[in-house]
Amino acid sequence: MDFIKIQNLSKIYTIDKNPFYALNNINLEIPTNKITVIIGKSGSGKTTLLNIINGLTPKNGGSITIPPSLKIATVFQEARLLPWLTIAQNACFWVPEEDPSYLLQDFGLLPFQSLYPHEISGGMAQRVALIRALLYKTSFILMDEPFSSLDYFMRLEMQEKILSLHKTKSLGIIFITHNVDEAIALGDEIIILEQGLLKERILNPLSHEERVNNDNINQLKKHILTQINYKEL
Amino acid sequence: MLKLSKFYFPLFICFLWWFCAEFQLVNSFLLPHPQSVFKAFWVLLENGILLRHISVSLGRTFIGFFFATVTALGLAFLFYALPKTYPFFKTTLQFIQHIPPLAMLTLLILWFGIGESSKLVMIFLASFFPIFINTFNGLNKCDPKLIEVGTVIPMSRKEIFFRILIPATLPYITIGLKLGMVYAWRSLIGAEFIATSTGLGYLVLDARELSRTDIVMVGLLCFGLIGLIIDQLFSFILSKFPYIIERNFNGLH
Repeated sequence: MDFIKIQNLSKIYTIDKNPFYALNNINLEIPTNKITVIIGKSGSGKTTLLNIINGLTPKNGGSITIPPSLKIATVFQEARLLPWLTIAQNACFWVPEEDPSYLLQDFGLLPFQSLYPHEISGGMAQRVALIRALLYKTSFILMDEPFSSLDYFMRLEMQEKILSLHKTKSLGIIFITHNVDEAIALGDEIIILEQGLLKERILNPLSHEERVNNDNINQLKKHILTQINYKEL
Repeated sequence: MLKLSKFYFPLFICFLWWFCAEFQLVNSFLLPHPQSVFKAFWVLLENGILLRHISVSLGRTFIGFFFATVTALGLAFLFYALPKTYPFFKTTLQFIQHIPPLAMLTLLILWFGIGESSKLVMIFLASFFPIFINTFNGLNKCDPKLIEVGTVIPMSRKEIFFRILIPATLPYITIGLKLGMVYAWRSLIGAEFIATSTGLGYLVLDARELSRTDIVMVGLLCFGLIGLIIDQLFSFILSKFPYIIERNFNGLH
């Protein structure tokens, strides 16, 4: 099994001449064929960690080793579709030679393929962003709270979609969220970040089937909530 | 019906014009009769004088506009690529921008002679700024989040430039070009008022000297009509963009 190896990773911002550790000496091995959820409050360093992995943010110290064969795609918090391209053109933006029809069909977007981003809903746009990542022939996707702007039902539907993609295509995912239910539903591993520090790493004891409607969920939920000090403001 | 409605008011003005002239409500020297204007137009058209003046004027406008476009686009991209250089030139550019090209005419004639070049420089100065400012603004307004869609993959710089930056900036560039063309066309009459024997501006000036207000009217109508055609041309190009800047460019979702 391959891993993304993160060693002594730090990211320091200078605020009013004082150092601020967005990430403080993180050591982590992320399996490339599992769903790893990173959870934490705002400002805990989740997005910084993700943006260092996908190269958008330079790191200050430590190292990240990514298996050379691993092709990584990113789904952002906003869909980030290009407004001058149609849905179909946006879907294959990273690989223009690919035909997006079968995935558009799969996600129920084929009838809308010739529309422009401003003509579709936020949920549809986010699905297009996911298709764009899948079409890239990727085996690993970084997702930064991709469903945070979706309504409850659309969110559940997308979570199921993610789980089935993970199973059928053995897709690896790093999924950032601040939603504990989502973390439990998706994560094979759940990593808790707090103020730039890795607080705990939990292996989800529940199987994919058990993650819906199970008493154990509440116990796990309680544990995670305590760990991220949700009452402390 | 909607398409026709834009002709109602111009037709009304024409009618008013005809009415005032026909019943001599206004001195015919101050407001020549539409018929005599049309006659002057027809004579000028028939002996080829009008088309010659128009083609000379259009030629000047396009040449000045062409050089302004090349320079403005080049500088806008250069300053975008090297953002640290822009502050050095910013004040100077803003300073020149506020000087009406017409005010510089005397100096331009001294510097560039009374030939074609002083006129071209004037047209250049008039159309440079709208093109430069709109392009530079457009480039800087391109959402970094869209650029990141290219950098995460990673796409090459060339690919990001042609597939993200340029399409994102294109509507701004087109608006800049449209304004530049309009300004170039409007500055033309100033350029042709002095030391020339060709062009629409000269036609109007010459007619003024001869007290031929009918020909002056022909010249003014030509200015307006050609300006309208240029405007329509750019509006047509802008309509080819399936997305509209104001509404959809800020709102990513």
